[in-house]
Amino acid sequence: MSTHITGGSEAMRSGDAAFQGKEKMERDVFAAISKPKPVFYMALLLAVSCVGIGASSLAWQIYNGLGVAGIMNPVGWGVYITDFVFWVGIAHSGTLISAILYLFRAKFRNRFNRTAEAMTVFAVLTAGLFPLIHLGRIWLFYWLFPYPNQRLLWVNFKSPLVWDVFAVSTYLTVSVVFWYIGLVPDLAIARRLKAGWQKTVYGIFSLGWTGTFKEWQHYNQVYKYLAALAAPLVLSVHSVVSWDFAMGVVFGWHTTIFAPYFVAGAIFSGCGMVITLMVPMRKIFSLEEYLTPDDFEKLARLLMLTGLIVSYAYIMELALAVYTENVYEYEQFVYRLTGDYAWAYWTMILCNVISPLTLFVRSLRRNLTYLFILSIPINIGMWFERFNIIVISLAKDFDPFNFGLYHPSWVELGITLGSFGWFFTFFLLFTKTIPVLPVTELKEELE
Amino acid sequence: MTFYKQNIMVPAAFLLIALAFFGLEAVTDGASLLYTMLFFVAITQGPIAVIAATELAMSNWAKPYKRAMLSVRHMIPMISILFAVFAFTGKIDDLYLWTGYGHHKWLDKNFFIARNILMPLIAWVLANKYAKESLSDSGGKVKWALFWVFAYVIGQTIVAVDWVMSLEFPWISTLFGAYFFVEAFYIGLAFAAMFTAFRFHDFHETFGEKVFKKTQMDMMTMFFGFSIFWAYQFFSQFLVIWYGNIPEEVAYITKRQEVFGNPMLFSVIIILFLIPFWVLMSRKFKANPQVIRAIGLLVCLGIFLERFIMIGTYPHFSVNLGVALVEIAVMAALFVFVVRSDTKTLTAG
Repeated sequence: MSTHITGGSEAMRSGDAAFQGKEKMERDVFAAISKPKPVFYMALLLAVSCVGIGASSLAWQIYNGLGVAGIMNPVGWGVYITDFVFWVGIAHSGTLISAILYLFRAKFRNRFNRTAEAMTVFAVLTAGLFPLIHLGRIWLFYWLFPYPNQRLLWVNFKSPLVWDVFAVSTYLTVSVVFWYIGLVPDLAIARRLKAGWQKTVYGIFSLGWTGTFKEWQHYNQVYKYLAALAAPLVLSVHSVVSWDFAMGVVFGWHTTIFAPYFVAGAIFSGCGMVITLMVPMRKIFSLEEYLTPDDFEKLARLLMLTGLIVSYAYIMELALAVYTENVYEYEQFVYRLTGDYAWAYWTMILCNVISPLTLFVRSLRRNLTYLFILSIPINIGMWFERFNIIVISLAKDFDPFNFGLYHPSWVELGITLGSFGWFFTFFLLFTKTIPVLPVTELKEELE
Repeated sequence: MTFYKQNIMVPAAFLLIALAFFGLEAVTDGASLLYTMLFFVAITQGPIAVIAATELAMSNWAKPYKRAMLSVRHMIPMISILFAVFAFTGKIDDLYLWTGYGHHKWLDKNFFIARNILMPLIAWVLANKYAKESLSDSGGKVKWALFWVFAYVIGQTIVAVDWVMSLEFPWISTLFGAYFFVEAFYIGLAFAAMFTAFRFHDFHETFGEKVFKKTQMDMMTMFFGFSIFWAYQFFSQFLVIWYGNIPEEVAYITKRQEVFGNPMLFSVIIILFLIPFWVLMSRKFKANPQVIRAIGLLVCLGIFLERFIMIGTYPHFSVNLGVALVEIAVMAALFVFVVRSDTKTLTAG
């Protein structure tokens, strides 16, 4: 009898400790969305200034026409399409981390999924701007959609560019819904903790969530189905983006490995960006207890794997260009290695192939400062990868009379800078309005 | 080497079969031995890659299958022996037209023979080292798993480029290497499915019903995932070639359409994607040994069929199907014998 009483009190004590642990975690995570410090406003000002530069550059382009951009025959796609592919790539790892790792029951995802999903949504919103900017006459964007009209004009469904419109918009829709569904229980906690108008706003967005058994049952079911729905999108979106190039008969574009290679590259760059964002966030919001080097090491392993896949694709492209003895294919790759843009090619190799190899050293995988430093060249390298594919292939195609160089203009660079500002503005606002770690999922882990 | 010493019948069988195939190939035309090797180069390496990948991913579900999956390594030297037989019967000159012209160093006949004999041997050495570390659960197992995966990817890529792609030189597909190593991984999972279904009761006794059921469910989920991934790779390759419609490139597909007809080509997609996809969606089927066995066999059959389509369309040679079936049956018997010899017990240690 006494044993039973002692056991019971131990259980109560351990239950109490778990409860206190949960409370502490809730407090720590929600501390991040308290009143911002001056450094936050400075960062926001910087990001908004970049948006201002981008918006001014865009206004200049709209006023003067697309001629102010550096794109010109033969290089008809330049920095804008590079930016588009880059941001779609960044958007990729969010769904991988949140949906695929969820289906694989990889628990470390719980540390990163909220931020990665937010990053996905903002990156797709950024990517979506570039096809419109590239149109020149931006007000005619609705021509991209099939809609009944008097002139019986219809989009060309055989064009990969139209597939893109559907792929990216589907991805955005599913990503937003998936992110929002996952947020609901945390928004309900925010409703409980906040007061005044904030309580009202969180109350509206938490959809009257009370956390009953039945609500959790429905929630878990819908979350699982959405994860299953989102998982194929990880493959489909960037495959479709890769086919924008691979369907053309341009050397350096028309290659079968593009779809899986683009998907791996997108996850590679997305994981790089997650590290870029989360290492400083961990420090600034004092989340060291919840984001441990163990968790980052798992992310670093994913970075290594995708980096190796990307390297394999580079090698295959190059090796088979030599193997096939096709003069155009061969010359294209010799030009990449030694031509006018060789500096861009070797920057890519250094950033995407050589630098991730350092992650084979375990101590470096667990060193967060090192991971943060490494993630920046990875982002740069992935931007250059897209630049190399797009620009170098167009600069030197079949006919020597048609060869020509491309130099980005200040307008294109201004808009690119603006896109970073746009992305970081959204991201900074996110860190101050929504819990950056999924509180309910972490609570489940504590149980 | 201990395995071969303890099972002296195995190296003896290797030599006898090599001699028999040498005789058979010397008196018949065509690519039957190439066809046989194409299937067995996948099933002797894919299962090890599955275990190595799970080791690197720190997954636990593959532990009960470890010994069985790693047992296929004893068959790898046979691929080198068969390639030597293939080279010495003079088939390389008949099949690979590029041998008659001066090309770059990669397409040098002697180098071609040397690397294709050597690569399986390197894979075998690494597989043995990895299996030793892994089965004894030592600290070096992750490192050796990584080395094995590198050797596997390089080896399967060389098989894809050298054995198949170069039959149609200068045709290229940059995805071909990846297609081969993903497919070998898929056949590795098919092997695991078949093995567990055939030795269902042994697994129950060794690991307990509950543990085994759970890991089997995970394994079949992986199998299901790979059916989708296989389809994705297939479609990625097909679409780019078909849409690009460049005469010298699209001929790879149109030639096969002419020779085999669309129904046979579609049957590969049905066998390797649609059937596993629909069947394995059900949790009930994932746990049913009869279904698992059938799906495993079906996927092996699908890969047999697909590899026949890959090499069976050339105007200058054909696959002698009768000879190929005899060779495949003999190799299959040897394969079963080797795996059985190394899996008397299923525990890893």
